[in-house]
Amino acid sequence: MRKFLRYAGIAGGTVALAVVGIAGPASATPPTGYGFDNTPHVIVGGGSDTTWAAQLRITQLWDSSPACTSNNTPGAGLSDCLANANPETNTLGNYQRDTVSQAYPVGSGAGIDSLNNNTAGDNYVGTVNGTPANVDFARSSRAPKTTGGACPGGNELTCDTFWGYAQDGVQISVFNGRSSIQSISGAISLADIKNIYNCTDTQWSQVASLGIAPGSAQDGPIVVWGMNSSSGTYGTMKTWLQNVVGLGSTYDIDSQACVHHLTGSGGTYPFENDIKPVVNDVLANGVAGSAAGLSGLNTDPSNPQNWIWFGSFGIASAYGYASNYPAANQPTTGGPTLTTTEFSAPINGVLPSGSNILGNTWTIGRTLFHVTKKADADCPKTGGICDFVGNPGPGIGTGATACAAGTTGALCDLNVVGGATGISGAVREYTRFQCRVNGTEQTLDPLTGKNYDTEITSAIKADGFQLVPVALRTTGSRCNVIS
Amino acid sequence: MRMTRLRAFAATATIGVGVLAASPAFAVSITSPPSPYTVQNNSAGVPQPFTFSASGFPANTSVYAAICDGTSITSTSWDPTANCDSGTSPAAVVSDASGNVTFNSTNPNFQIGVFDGTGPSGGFNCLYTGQTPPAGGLPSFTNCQLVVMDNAFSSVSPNKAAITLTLQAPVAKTPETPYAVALPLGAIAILGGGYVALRRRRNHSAGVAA
Repeated sequence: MRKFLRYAGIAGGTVALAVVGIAGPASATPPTGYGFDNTPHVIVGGGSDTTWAAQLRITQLWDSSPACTSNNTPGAGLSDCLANANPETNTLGNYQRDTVSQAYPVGSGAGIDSLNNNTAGDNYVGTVNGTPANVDFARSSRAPKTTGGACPGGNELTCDTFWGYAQDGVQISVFNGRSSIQSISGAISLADIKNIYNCTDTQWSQVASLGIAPGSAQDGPIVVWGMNSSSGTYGTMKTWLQNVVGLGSTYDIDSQACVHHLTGSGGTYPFENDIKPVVNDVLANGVAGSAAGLSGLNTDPSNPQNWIWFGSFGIASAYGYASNYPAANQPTTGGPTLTTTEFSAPINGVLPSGSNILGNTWTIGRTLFHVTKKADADCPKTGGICDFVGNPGPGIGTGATACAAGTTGALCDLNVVGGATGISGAVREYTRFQCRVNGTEQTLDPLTGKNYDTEITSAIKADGFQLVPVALRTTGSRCNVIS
Repeated sequence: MRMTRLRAFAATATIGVGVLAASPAFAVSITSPPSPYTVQNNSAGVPQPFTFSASGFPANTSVYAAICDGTSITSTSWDPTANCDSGTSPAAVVSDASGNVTFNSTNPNFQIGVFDGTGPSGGFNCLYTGQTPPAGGLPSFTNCQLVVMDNAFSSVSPNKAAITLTLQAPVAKTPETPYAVALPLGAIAILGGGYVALRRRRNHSAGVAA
């Protein structure tokens, strides 16, 4: 900790002077054009489960990034920024030493609902701001809803701005020996997926594109698992089934008679991206009336080979223990154990991959979003359209390039408009950090010497996600900004 | 695979540091093609995906492949999230019961995204010898690698192997002469040749008569 403070002090004193030069007022004030007020604030995000770990990584980068020179004397104002060289210069990091944290997930929709106080009595326990407390920004693994969303009136874009910082795909998952379908040309067809998810096909031998003989070792009952309906993964899959597969606008996965929920846990639907709660439930309770415990019989619904589910391609790929549950680690009470391993199912003969997700050709591709209230952080606009290029932010470095608020610099920072002080300003600056266009607008991590642009990319990839495809990026930013 | 393990054991024994078992880091190898591998270009000079095989992985495990920069995968600083371009990764191949995988380039699902220039994620450049790096200041390598691994998201797994890739310069092709130029020139040549032949025949006839 002491070492870090030393680094932070160096960052605040030396790096700031060397990297950034922004004209400030006569007395010591926060850097011009940003949301800092020289006092640390605590802000909390919440919502998505899929994006939780990636946001934790990015939050860690931000929280420890170069800050102002601070008051380290015990007493009032401990950790506040000290009045320093005038004009004050932005470190391009967490200048005012905010604490940004990520609340335990509840699902994307629920997180956005909390952000907007959309449901009477909203109180996201574990957050700190507001009475009752709710999140200051949301994590979402689904796109904004313009009707029926978690915002008064239903159009989430009237309340919020969605900052897409990464790309993922939803995969349909099969288990254990069903991985053999990966090599079947043209499988699983959209027509077959439709028949599985509307409960027309109840046996694997009915799935025409798989060509499984009735009664063969590969045949068995199809066990479709549902999911927590607040999750963005659920919302993305439902929208895809409605629009691409053709199940219609009123279709809902969990409402189907053949879709299973957990028997324990009060009969709730499982959270996404982790097969352990599902396996543990079957170990304890069986599934569809079968005996407790997993089964190796092809006719038994408790045989994972008969299961079909869906989830994040990135998380399933990056976290082996969430997608591969060894028998040795499972509780032995309740019945026999069996290692359960999740695999991507092909759709129309195509498997998800890093290549087709980055290329935005995977059929269930999705962007992952950081969501802010418009008053806190929004894109500058020209004619109602996000326009970063036409509306540059404050100047960075020394140079003659004309930037925002009369500042000049070697180049201009990303312009994020919104809060000037307090919690609102803190949200604004955490947002800017995630969406600067490239390394030229970022500074170096004082702990690693790496550029934050590189480190944000690594944080995204460590969770199996990809960068936002170039075609989806808002010009002037690495993000896909939807406002 | 047996030979690989034997070699690993022999190496460990030779070092003689009291390690009883071969490190899993030596278990995985790319069995085909050999390293370095010269990537073939198509007629337009674009590097083409190729088939490759590896062994030594745990059975029934998803194995990933990616094009990575020239940093050695044994370097303590090597990290697939920084040194590899995940946008080049085909779908994972599930290893067989013996731990073998083959990424067959005839199957679009398993085609490696080999590239010349800046990678699809924009993190680094892979170049052929003598190639001028693209603008942008990204790090450039003429020794990019194909890496196969059972964890493409952190450096913790020892189950990975690499071969060096050699890119080729696009072959300069002699531009074909456009028909708009060739046809008139051909016609002139034929007419000219005919005229000359006619003149010679006339001269020859005159000479004989004289």
